[in-house]
Amino acid sequence: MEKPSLFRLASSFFKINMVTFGGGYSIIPVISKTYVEKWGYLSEEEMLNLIALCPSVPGAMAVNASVLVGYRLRGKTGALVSFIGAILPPLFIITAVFYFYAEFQSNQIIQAVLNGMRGAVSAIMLYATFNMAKGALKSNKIFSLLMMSSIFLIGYFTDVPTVALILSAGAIGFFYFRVFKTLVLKGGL
Amino acid sequence: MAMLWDLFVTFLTIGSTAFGGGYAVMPLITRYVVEERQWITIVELADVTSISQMTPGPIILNSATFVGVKMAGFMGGVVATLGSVLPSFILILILGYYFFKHSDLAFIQAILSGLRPAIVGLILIASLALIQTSLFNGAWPGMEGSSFNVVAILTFLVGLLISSKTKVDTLGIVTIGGLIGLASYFIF
Repeated sequence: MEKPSLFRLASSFFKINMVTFGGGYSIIPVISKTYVEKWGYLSEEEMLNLIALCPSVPGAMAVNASVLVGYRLRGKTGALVSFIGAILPPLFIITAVFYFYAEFQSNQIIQAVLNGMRGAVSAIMLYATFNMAKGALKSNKIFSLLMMSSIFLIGYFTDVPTVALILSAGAIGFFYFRVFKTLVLKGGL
Repeated sequence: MAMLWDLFVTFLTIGSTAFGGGYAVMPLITRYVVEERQWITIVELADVTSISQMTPGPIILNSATFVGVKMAGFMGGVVATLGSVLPSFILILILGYYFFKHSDLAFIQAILSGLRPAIVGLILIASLALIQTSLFNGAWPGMEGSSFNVVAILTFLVGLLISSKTKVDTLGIVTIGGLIGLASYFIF
């Protein structure tokens, strides 16, 4: 498969991290939109596999996901340039905000621009999330649909910690596909 | 110099223990930065949090930059940021190395088959949270404190339309959103 240049990795992660409001998982659909839909460097499934690894380490999801995509596509150098691309935007933005703090909070024009940007980013996220859902439902349709909706419902309506949800999903996957389906049903145990 | 080192080590500690991302890091910053080091006050931390909702970027990086710049200027921001992301950078490389090498193992594939749809469920929660904050002032219509942010709703609809009908990329759509926001200032 064709690989992106190091410059493309760094600049794309700079841009993505520059515009992604919300923190946590909110950056994932935007990365997916760029790397899966627009450029096709990764398949939906590969993308979700990479994202699934991110919660296993501490730190910002946005940086972890950027680094992992860079690492997957261009090795250690790719990881490094993606890392730099990802951490520069918050560094610049917050430094500027620090020095123009009062101005930033009271300036109606800045607030109006940010307000418009947030609405647009929300749309990009929602649209890309639906595409990711379609991708995740391509294999094991019923299982995936049940898993997706139950994690969504539990996560949205209860206070169960995200870590617990992720660990349970991994464990259920392991027991269903490895222990139950391959070993028990096919008599391999 | 001592301050730069202290900033680096403090945010290294926070970065090594901040599992879960997002607001999960707030108690750690409160403990190490506000209570132990007293570099910023709890009011300033609340300000950083609200700035983080207004600007892009993960909250852990935003707070590291804010605290670092306050204590030691731009270099302070740089070392605090590096400290906060270094642990995850190293750990994710190690994890990635073993994952790319062994991702064809049957048991890993089984775990991933469980994780993939679950992750999409979590992402959907994040999308809805951003929509709720940006479009409805933090509460769904009908709930207490909800209000319609007309401009953000407009840029949301425009964004959806462009996403589904054209190939305009993220930066383009966000720029259009920003321009509509700017225009709204002069119209209203």
